[in-house]
Amino acid sequence: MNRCKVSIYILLSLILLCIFSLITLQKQCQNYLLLVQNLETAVSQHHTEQALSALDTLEANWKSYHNINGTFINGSELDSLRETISGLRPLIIYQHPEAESEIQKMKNLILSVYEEELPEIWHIL
Amino acid sequence: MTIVLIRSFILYLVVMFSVRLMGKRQLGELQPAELVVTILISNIATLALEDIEIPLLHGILPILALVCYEVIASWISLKSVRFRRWISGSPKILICNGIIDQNMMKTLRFSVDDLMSALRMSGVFFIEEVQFAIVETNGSISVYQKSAYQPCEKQDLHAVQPCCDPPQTIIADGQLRETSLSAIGQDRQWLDTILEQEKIKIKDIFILTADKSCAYHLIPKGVPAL
Repeated sequence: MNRCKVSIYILLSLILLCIFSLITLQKQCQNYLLLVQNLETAVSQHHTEQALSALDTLEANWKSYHNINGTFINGSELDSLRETISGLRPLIIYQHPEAESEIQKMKNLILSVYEEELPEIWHIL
Repeated sequence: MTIVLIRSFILYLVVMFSVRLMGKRQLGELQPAELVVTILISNIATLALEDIEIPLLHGILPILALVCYEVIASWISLKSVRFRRWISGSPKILICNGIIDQNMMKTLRFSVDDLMSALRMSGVFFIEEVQFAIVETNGSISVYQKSAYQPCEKQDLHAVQPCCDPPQTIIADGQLRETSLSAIGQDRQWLDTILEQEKIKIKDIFILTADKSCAYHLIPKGVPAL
């Protein structure tokens, strides 16, 4: 009976942990999307200084929350996002037309990383 | 490297905790559900150990969840016979009164060699000696021989002696075990009397066993092997 109680407590803790991870990821996702949105606006208006500043903020945010995200998400999924962020700076500096598509790609990656964690039937299957 | 070392230690603790949580029943004979959980745990732990790209939580979480499911399922199976039958199946009779149930053997996919091997391991070499052979839910075979072939016991010879408990280890390697002393219904005073008689101290005793009739066996430390 004691084992059963302990098991129920552990299961409840695991469920709480999963809920916590979803909430954390959702917050992070919204935060990143907002920063990427700022970056996208600056790039589309060809404001290089503003875009670089937005990118700095994005990178700083990424660095500070990377470890927390890495606790819940597989490293390979985060790698592709990290590569996109690190490749953006030269594209913005030289106002390369590919910058906007890279930003779009980043948006999609952020969304997919979060959405794949949602307990929906298609993700479970 | 260091990360792998730390992760392996954490996973070791988690797996040890999981096995302890599953209980002693787990360590002996495995029921089908327990076997599945054991295999899955070892596999998940290996994955999380090998690949540091996988978050440790992705290894720990399913291990703990599987063990919890297993413990809860075994608790439900204690309460519900129907659930127990669904999880573990039910024992099946393979031999009844020396006659093999061939249909049951086909159903269980048991070969004659499997059956004969199981009978031999139970000390039976002739099928006609078997009253019942039952396949248990964990896959082992229990054999009950016809009374004519069962070994003779003390009560058959009317040589039954009063029941006596096995001896307890009172001192092991110079260490006194108080619980064993109270288990045989004796106290420290009784032990001191023995020590005085034998002219020996506790720290010089390799092993001292005693039963409820106060019969004891003492081996001092440093007795040379023959």
